[in-house]
Amino acid sequence: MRQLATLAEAVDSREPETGLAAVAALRTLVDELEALHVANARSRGWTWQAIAERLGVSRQSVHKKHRRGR
Amino acid sequence: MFDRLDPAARDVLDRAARQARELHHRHVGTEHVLLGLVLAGGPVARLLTDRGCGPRDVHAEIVNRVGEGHPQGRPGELLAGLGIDLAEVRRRAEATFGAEAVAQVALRPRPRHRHWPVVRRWWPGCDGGRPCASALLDTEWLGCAPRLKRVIDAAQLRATPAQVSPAGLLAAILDEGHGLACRILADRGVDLPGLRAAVRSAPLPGGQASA
Repeated sequence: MRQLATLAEAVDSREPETGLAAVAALRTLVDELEALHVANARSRGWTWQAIAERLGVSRQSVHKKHRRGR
Repeated sequence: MFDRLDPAARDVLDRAARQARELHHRHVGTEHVLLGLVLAGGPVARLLTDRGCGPRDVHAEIVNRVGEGHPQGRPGELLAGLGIDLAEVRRRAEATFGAEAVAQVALRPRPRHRHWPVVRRWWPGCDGGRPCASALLDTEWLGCAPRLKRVIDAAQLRATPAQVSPAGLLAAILDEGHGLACRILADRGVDLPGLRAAVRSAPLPGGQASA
């Protein structure tokens, strides 16, 4: 029964409709988690440069995305 | 934003949004508001129903013109399909940062493109009227079609200082004149200037100020 459910899921995710929507949802989740962690780092006095290094992106792009008062 | 609507007009927009969701549309437009007006009952609905625009007629016209969208799972269901337990992610995030910080992040408008600045938030999490979602809150928000935004703004401006009634909504839709709602009405043989005059002159409770 359990295997059957897993199989059904695997077949289901071959469906572009579900697969793409799931990826979009995952991206939203990542964005939200990123915003949480960046805000936390900033409140602890981390520099944009330090945050950007950990995220693996440029200082400018992380600042552009997360600065407040846009 | 949509803060100067009376309870009846709010009910109309709620119904419009519910209908849009049931049709799996991602935006609320004037056509959904028209359906909401007809479904809400009352004098405005009677004006429309008497002219051959009952709930079924309007619904059929919308399906006919726009079609039905694709059902989309909620973020929680979709992520479960990837093996992610969203409830657990949220629980940990809230344990670490506090529920308030999580809600704040989830409700903040996020421009999807760097050239689309966040000008104004129309409703929670929604930037520039585009539909959007929060995974952490497991919620999706419908977009607001630009024309509907203009129509509601115009209705609110005209109603000042009173609140917008359902009659005010219909009057604003008719005055704007180019929405799908107007095309549906026109194609069903409704005399638009006549309907506009009826909205203005009908003894609608609370409607005089806005119509």
